[in-house]
Amino acid sequence: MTPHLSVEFTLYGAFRAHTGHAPLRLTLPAGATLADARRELPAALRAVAPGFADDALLAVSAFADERQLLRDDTPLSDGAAIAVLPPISGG
Amino acid sequence: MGRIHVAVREEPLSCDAALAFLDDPSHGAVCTFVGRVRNTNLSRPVEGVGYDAFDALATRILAAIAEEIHRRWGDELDVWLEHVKGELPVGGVSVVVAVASGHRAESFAACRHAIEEIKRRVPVWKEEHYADAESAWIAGRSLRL
Repeated sequence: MTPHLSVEFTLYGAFRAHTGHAPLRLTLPAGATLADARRELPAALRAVAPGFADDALLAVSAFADERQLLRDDTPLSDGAAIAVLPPISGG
Repeated sequence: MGRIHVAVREEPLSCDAALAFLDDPSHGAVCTFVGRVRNTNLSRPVEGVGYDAFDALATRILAAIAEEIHRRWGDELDVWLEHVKGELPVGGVSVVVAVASGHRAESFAACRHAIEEIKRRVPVWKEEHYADAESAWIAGRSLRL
């Protein structure tokens, strides 16, 4: 069993101002879920973008993979690629 | 069986391409909706809009919307759904919805359904660029489950 998981998070929309197009990589304990990742993301964002202060935007953002939206209780797997989707405004 | 075309494109969207796709002698009606960049938002002059998109999921959701149209209004309808990604000037086309059917009622209803569902469900974001050189990402609808 892998003791830790490495998961890549790509952040869209308003997050681009802080991360550009570079994904964030989080190392999480085995068994971690998206809820655990949600708690870690603000600090991870501030590590690459010290000016990031919009934790409220993260709180209303959804998680998804390339097929579907994901609930916070979704377990993560090593090497997973997750999209962080702020509120949408297309059309 | 009607045909479905969906895409998120970084090239300019073409209404002519949509109409050509929908050209079929069985269709007595074609209804289109074209979304364009407006020159103001909340009274603030706008010079352009940048669109970001999560292409893979956006394309899947566009396809799901088109399939819903087949189930609800008939699988003989032809459906074209495209959303742009990238920078557009004022007047640029951000979204093209086009539906063809035997009679107008189905096309009108399906076209309205498609654009409302695109705005409600498809992961796309817009950043407005203003005449005073500032830019802002537009607040939208949360998809969080």
